[in-house]
Amino acid sequence: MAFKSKEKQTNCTYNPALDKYQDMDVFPEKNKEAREHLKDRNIRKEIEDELKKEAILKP
Amino acid sequence: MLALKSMDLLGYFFSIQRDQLILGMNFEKYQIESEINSTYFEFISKGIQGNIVKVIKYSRIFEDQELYNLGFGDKNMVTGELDDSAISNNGDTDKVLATVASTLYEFFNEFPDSIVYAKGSSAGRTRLYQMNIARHFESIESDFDVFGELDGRIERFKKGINYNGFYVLKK
Repeated sequence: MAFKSKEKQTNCTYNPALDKYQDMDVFPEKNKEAREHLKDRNIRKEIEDELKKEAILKP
Repeated sequence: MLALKSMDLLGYFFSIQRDQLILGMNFEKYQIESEINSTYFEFISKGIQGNIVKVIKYSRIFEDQELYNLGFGDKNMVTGELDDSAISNNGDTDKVLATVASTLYEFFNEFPDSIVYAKGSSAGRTRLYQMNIARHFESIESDFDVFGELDGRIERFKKGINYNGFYVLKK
C-alpha cells in the first residue's frame, strides 16, 4: 500500500481523501486560459534560450 | 544603550529570519494536506472573516511538456465549488502566500524537472504575486529559478517590472 508521511520534514501531510483530486481539472477556466496562452510554444526552450543569452552577456 | 542595541539586533535578526524563511521551514505557514502525488493541496486560512478552505492545484497543461499551471482558490465547504477569483480579505495574506509557496517544495520533490506557470486570476492578483516574489526574492532564488513574462517574452525575473505571468523551475 502506498503511504507517504511528510510530517517530519514539512508542514504537509498526506490525506487519502484528497486522492480523488489528483486527475481532476479543478480550475478548468484557468487551465483553458493557460493552454490558449501557451499553445504552440516550447516554454523550456524559451527559458533555455534566455539562459544562453545571459551566459553570453556575462562578463 | 547596550540594551537598546541588543534589542535592535534582536529585531533585525527576526526580520531577517522572517524574510529568509518565507519559503523555508520555519516561517509561519498553515498546515497543509495533499493527495498522494502532491499536485493538489488544501489548507484552512484562519482570519478575521473566519475559516476559509484554500485549494492549490498544479495542473499539467500539455501532454508533451512538463509544464504545470498553478491554480489557487477558495473552496465552498457547503457546495464543494472552487472559486479562483474570490477575495477573502482574511487578514493573513503573508501566511497564505507563504503556505502556497511551501507547496512548491512539495510539488518539485515529486516533479523536479517541471516548470510551474503562475498567473493570477486578475491583474491585481498577478501584481500581488509579483510584489511577494520581489519582497522575498533573495530567499526564493536560492532554491528556484524565476522568470517573468512580459508581452509574450520570457526573461529572468527582475524587481520593479510588472509581469503578466511567472515561470518557476527548481535549481
